[in-house]
Amino acid sequence: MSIKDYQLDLPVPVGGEDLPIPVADAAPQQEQPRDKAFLEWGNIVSQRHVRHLAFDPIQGDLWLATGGGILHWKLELNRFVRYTSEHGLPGNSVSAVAVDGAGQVWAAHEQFGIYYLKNDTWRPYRILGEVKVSCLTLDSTGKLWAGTASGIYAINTPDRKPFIELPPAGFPPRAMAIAKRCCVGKASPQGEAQIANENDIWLCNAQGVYNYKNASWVRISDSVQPDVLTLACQGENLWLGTFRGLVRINLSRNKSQKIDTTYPGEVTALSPHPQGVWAACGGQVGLAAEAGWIPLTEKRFNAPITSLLVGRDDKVWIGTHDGLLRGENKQILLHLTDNAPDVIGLASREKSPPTFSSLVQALSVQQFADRSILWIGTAQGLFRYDLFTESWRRYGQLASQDIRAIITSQDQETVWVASWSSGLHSLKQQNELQTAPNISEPILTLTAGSDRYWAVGLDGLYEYKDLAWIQVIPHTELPVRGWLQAIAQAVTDHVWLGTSAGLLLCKTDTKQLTSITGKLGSVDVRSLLAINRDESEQVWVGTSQGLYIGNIDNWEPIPDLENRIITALVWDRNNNSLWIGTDKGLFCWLSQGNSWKINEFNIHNSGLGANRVIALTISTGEDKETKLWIGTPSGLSCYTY
Amino acid sequence: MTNYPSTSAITQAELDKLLRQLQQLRSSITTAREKIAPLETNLAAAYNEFQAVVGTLRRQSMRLQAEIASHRSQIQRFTQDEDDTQQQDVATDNFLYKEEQTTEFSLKDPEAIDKDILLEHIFRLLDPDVNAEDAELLANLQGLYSDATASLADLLEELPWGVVWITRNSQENLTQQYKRLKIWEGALNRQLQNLKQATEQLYKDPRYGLWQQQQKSPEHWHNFLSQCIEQQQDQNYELQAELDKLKEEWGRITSTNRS
Repeated sequence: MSIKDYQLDLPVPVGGEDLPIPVADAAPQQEQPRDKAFLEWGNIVSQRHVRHLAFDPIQGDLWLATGGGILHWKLELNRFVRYTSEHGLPGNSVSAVAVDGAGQVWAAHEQFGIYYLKNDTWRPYRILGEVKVSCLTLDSTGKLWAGTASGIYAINTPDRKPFIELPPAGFPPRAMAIAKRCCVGKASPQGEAQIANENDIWLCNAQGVYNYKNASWVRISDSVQPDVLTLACQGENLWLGTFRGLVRINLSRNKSQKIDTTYPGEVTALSPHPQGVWAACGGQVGLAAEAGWIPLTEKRFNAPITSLLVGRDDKVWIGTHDGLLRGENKQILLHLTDNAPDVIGLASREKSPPTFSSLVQALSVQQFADRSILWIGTAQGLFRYDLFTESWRRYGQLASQDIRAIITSQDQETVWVASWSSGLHSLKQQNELQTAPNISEPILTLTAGSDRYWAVGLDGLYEYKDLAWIQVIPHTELPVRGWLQAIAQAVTDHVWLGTSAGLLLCKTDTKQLTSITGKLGSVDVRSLLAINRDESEQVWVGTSQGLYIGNIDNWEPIPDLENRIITALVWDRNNNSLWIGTDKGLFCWLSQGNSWKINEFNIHNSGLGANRVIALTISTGEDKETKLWIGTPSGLSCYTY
Repeated sequence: MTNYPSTSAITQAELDKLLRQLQQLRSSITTAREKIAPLETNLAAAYNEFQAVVGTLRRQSMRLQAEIASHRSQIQRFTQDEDDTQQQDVATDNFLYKEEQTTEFSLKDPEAIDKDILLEHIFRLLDPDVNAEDAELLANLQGLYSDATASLADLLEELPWGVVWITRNSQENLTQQYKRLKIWEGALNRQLQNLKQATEQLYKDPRYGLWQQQQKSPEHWHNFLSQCIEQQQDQNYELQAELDKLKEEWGRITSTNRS
């Protein structure tokens, strides 16, 4: 660009750099996995929240365990493959990944055990069941080791039981390092004890650093040492990353030395290097070598560094909670997919580009004649997803706002968006965001009634009338000692109000409130749905102890949902079915004449991103295919039927 | 490295061969220029259209980013002065998008002597006082000669094939003519290589992506530009909010300091 016209007529000098031109075609290309475990399911979740990295030395590929599934980078081809719950993972939240010496890829889910990749779908390593894995590592022969609270396991192949099982070392290991013990001679055949003896096995946990000796774990310090976060073996050294800096222990001389780093602070990641160890210390990445601390650059990261890995050509891969970075030639550069949902919006000179927030809290569909828009409220802003063009937008004016509720007006012209701290906003096509005056934040929920709109806030109930929001019931006038949490209206003369201490009925003309008698009069109501069915009003009351159906004084619990927190309800009028979001999975209540049946969906039997459902909405495409959109803490899931 | 025949061995045949090579080089340069010109024009047109629509917002973004950086360093300097032991706030990650290094070029022209020799050669062979065409050519070449950024090859490209190329001047013998032409050959070769590289560079130019978008369809281009506007507006809102926050912080610092 020879003409840098922005450099003219500026009140402040700018650098010689032009802004990057946002062209998606120049971005790395996405490849789809060859298969899906759950065909009707899909997940939209950012894979910027990196928790662990693994390098495949055979293929030269990089694998990332993220809060949004597994990301496989085919580095040579500049292509990437995303794996999420629909590909067999038990939800999107993955904590660790490893590629063993045979090229087998393994992943550890945050809670539900170890999985391995076969024919491009993830399958459970059933032998260990749903054990909670705290770390994965490889030994010098490339064998996989898994650290859990119930024991340490060395695993050879997916279809066999672990070839080594060591007892637990008290608390779950934070990190493990397994080095070949140099003083052991050759012996065969190898028994479990012998293999364990041939390896120098180290781990750190909330109690300190342990070494496996003579069939038991021996702590290296006399007292409890809870500040060791990670460790690595390199040559004769054991490196410890602690809350207060980096420590090297020379194992042959049994001497420890504190390493002087540029910044004091916690060491969150280590990766062995022939000259020492790469470490993330006080937010800075550097090489701790004999010569001292050599920082990669002067820069410090704001986002936590979770993993470091030495790749080919002496590149250092840096996994952070804000994405993957590549360190080479004294430079650190972002290595992102540059595709939505990882990147939605533009980067600036000082900030990495925005990403989709995984905590999806509110959903609404805006249906136009020729297309549908899905509005997504998250803990980190408002997003718009055009279901026809599949284009994304993150609203700059509500960037980093905690969005709790969204509704679309019945004429589909206006979208109302409620944020925790910035009030209630309206959005019309081609217009700027308008903030509603006279309404106090936080607004917790919004609903479109039969003839009007309602907003529920901590300070009471608001009604939209004559193009203005007015408070109709202050929280001080509630007949219960609780606050409003839910609202539903199906008929013109009354509206149902759910509070943290019971269900109320409110007359729309007089605003007279009546407490419902019986159990629902004091229950914690989390969600409400009122529909007109067979010319009568049917009300669904979602509580922290299950779901109820009924009207006025006749309420029946739904037995299959007892003791579940009912978080979201949506009625599918085309299929006469109710979708029920709970803290422990998604349910579909299907009406079949006079009877009904319930289908359960969870992270094991479906592509649901997480068992905790926060928000639900339905969209219908041109082909009459229905899409159920499910907001979870691990992204947005979609079920097509 | 230039590989001459030894001085004593230069023959008219070798000189003729060299002249043929020079003629061929000139023709290759013309072809390369013809190839690069439309691509350059297309890229410039796409970029101009993009800038016409999004440029104001992009300029606003640059201004906001510069102001943010300036305010942040102002606050950092102040807080560091206040408490040297306090750990530096590290909100700037400007390693992510590295600034383009300003190229420091020397004003000294590395080909000045060769350009001198060319001009002297032309003076000896052309007669600008008599021939109007010669006068115009000489004026044109003198303009390029005084431009330190114009290379010897740029001058040679302007020089039409003819007497200046093929004729030995009164101060030269066959060997000296051969040496001079060899220098010209080297310059033209470099020019050809540069043009080839420039063509390759254009395919990697960020504007090339824009041009590809423009080529898809008018509707696609329109949607692309609309999306760019939205994205830039969203970024500017965020930057403005950040700047306001920094200004507020600076206001707080200075008011606390005053009181």
